Amino acid sequence: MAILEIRNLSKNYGKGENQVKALKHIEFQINQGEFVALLGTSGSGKSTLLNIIGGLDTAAKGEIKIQGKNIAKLKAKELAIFRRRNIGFVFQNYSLMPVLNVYDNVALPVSFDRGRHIDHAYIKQLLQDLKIWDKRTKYPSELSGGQQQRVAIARALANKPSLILADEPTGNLDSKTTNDVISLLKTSGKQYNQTILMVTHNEIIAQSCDRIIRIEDGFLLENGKDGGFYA
Amino acid sequence: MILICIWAITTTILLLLLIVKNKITYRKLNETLEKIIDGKSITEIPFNESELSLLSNQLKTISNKLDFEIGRADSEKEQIKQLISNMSHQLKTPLANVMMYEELLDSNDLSEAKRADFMKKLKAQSEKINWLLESLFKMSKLEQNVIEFDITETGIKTTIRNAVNAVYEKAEKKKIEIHVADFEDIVLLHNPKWTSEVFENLLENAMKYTADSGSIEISVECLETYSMIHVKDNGIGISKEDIPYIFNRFYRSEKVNEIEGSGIGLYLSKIILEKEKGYMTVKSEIGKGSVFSVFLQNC
Repeated sequence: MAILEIRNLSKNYGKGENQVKALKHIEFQINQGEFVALLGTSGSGKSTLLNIIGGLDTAAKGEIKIQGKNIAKLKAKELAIFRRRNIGFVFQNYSLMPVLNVYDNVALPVSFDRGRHIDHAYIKQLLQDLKIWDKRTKYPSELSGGQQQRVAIARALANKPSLILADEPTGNLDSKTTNDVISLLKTSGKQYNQTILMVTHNEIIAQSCDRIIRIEDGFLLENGKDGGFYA
Repeated sequence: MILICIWAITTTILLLLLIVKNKITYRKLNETLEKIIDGKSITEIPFNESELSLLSNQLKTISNKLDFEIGRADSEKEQIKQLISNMSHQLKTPLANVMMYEELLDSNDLSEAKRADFMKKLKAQSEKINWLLESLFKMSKLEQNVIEFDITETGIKTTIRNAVNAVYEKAEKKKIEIHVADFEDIVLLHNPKWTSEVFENLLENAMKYTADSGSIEISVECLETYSMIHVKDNGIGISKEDIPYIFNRFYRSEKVNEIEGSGIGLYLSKIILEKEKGYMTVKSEIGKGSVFSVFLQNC
């Protein structure tokens, strides 16, 4: 079943002669439970695409359907609510709240919805699975980069979103820690049956995904086959 | 007096409004639930700060989950159909061979040497059938979760050593050197018996697809939450086109038709590792060799 469907998506920046066509007629879909890499060099349009899917940027043309809902048609306020309930983000720079400890950072997105039950047992399980339960009272500044990114992954999972978007999640990490974080992202994604779209420029990281979608100069080059490079 | 009257009237109005609002919320939720029961898709979800909006969103997630599970059950049915047809296909060749040798042995004008040769071949074929059935048995048990699969915190050194010991004789015969780089024993989350089978499979493959007097290297690398065990060979390598499929059940590259194999080993290894929250990656270059890296969680 398709969680994400992109139809004829285009995005331009600037006007007239200075116009830059960042994305050109992009079409693909992602099924529930898939771990997909969006691979491209810097400036290929991959981050623009991810931001549009996440509702952080708007598209010029086209359809972006998440769980069958076309988010291009939502108003800003609606989009913000849709986003926090259905999309989990993992950023390159972790984007944790410096004044909150690990546990509160992870519980934060759940607490945004008034009257929503915060499932403490679930959050505990998440922190244990990501091996940061013993760090739950620490603040982000007391953690290493890899640990901070693990907190960010737990935060993205805490909301039980339909889709997790990861933008260069290991961009700031050394190669050893990168392997570690990708491993956890991958196994926890499978365990919680999450759909993950990860942007990366690193071919080797992309190979650990179920599928690779390649983008270059705003064009979709290759919509990878099903089946995995991994086991 | 007047003040009390006004107060009473406003309270009543407010209460009435609240009751009406609750009624509306209830009715809308009821409608949404009816849709789920009827298997229709929920389309109209309001996105605002109301509790109704939050609940509808959660209902939508539930209905999607249901659809997903239904889809998965369907695809599993399809897989079982495929499995049965694959199985019969796999068993057909050795079985036909057994029947052929049996017929040959039946004839009277056979020299003793020929007879012994056919007997040996017959035995090899029955062993193959036995091995196939055993693998299929393991596979279906693992897939259906009926097997007892204890994951314990155990040192990986013994697990690797057991796997190397199991293939040692074969390696000697092929003059392939298996070199294990020195490493400190690490306690990893795994099932020693099954994981040793994973390494055995990888080593068997490495030997099968490496020429005589080649070499295989095993090394261990420790990360913060995971550890990697690399099995590196200098064999024939795997082409880019094949790599996405090698972990699929019964997949065999057309390039290795000549070499005996069933396409079960890597698939079996994959499901074993999945149960241990681990996984495996592969890097390979045609003519140069392959590296399989097994990822297991640290304790």
